[in-house]
Amino acid sequence: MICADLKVVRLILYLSWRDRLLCANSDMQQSRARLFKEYKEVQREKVADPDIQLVCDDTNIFKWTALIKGPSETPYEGGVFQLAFAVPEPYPLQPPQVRFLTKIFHPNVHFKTGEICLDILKNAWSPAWTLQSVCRAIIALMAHPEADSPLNCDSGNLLRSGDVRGFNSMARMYTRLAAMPKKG
Amino acid sequence: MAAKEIDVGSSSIDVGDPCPICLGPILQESYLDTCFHKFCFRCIKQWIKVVSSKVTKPLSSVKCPLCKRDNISIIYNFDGHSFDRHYVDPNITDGFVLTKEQRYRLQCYYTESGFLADVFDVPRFWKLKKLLQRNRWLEFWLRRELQALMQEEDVDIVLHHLVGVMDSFCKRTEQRHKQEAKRSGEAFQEPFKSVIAEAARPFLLARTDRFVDELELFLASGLNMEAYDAVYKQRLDKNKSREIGVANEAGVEEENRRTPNLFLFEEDTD
Repeated sequence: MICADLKVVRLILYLSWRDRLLCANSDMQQSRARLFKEYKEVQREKVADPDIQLVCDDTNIFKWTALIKGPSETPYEGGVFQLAFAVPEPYPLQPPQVRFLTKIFHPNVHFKTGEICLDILKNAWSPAWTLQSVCRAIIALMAHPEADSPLNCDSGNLLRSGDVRGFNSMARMYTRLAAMPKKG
Repeated sequence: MAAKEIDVGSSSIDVGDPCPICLGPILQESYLDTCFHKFCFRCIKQWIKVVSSKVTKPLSSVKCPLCKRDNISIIYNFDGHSFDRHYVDPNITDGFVLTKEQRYRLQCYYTESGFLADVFDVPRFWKLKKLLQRNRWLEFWLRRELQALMQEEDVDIVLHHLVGVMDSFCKRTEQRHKQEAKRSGEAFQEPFKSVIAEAARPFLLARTDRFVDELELFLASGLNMEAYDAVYKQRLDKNKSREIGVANEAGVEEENRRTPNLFLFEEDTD
């Protein structure tokens, strides 16, 4: 009788211990594992995509920065833009938070905070996206601004009023000011 | 049969093709039902949970993370014979689970045909034209059988269709029986079976022929469901213990003896 009771107690203890372990681990462990996979992939692909340089924080795998080259034939050409990634714990079930650290004049980027208005970073997120592919999407957004949902109204208004030249020169100016190495 | 069954968990690890969600090897391979994109069962289930937590009313479908096509369920536990489905719509998810009785009926489909031929006298059933005496338990039996085979709760349409086909066959037989009284009852066996098979095939597919045999057996037994089940189960148990006995003699370790219909049966059948 006592023997059986002991067994039951031991089983309950084991189960609760296991559950606690599983709960504490699940989200964190999963996103960590996935980020580690991405890290390895980035190391491997570094040469393959010269426009994107993704770097993981030395001490925190949930913090990343990226350097992306401004796409050619846009006012951002020649600039190098820095992005900051904050990866949430439930990643990849939730999108990473990305913002421009480099000032950029673009309708869909907040001029002050660098916040980016991009559907895949909000409701159109899919867990199949990676940090690398998010960078690619941001490069595509730089080449194709969406003036109808502006975070930067001045920039959006220029484009919406058809003043492409005005927009281009403003954007190029800020690229020179903020995203290019200072001359001399 | 059992020797071929390998642990699904470990056999489905496919290093070449990582899961798009965790980027790791796929654990418990599962597919979306329209686009057949492959994920870990756990990963895609979690994603569905996240998506449905963002909307107020229950989701009926989910977009594939890879191709954005709509899918209403995840296919998993595929073992070559059968698979399980996890529906996006939570109402369907909890919906139909096979009962113990239905599981036992499915098990019957993996016995050899003519399993109980020595218990129930099928030729006699035809000879005496017992088909014309309606079996009162037929509909209950049919419903359970169809539910088990189709793994669906609502089988009313198929049930009524089959009963209708059977009734009209009986009516025709009766009329003919009056016209040509000399004709023996056995002559109706084949037409009956082919008519039923034809009616059932669109729903039961590969299991149709066996279904017709089982139906014939049940009708021939003339028993109600409980009595019929008792006879069948007794034979199943006997058969199982005999088979295990043989297997043990041959030195084959069959700890996890299951039918090919993996996961449909409780593991401890004894």
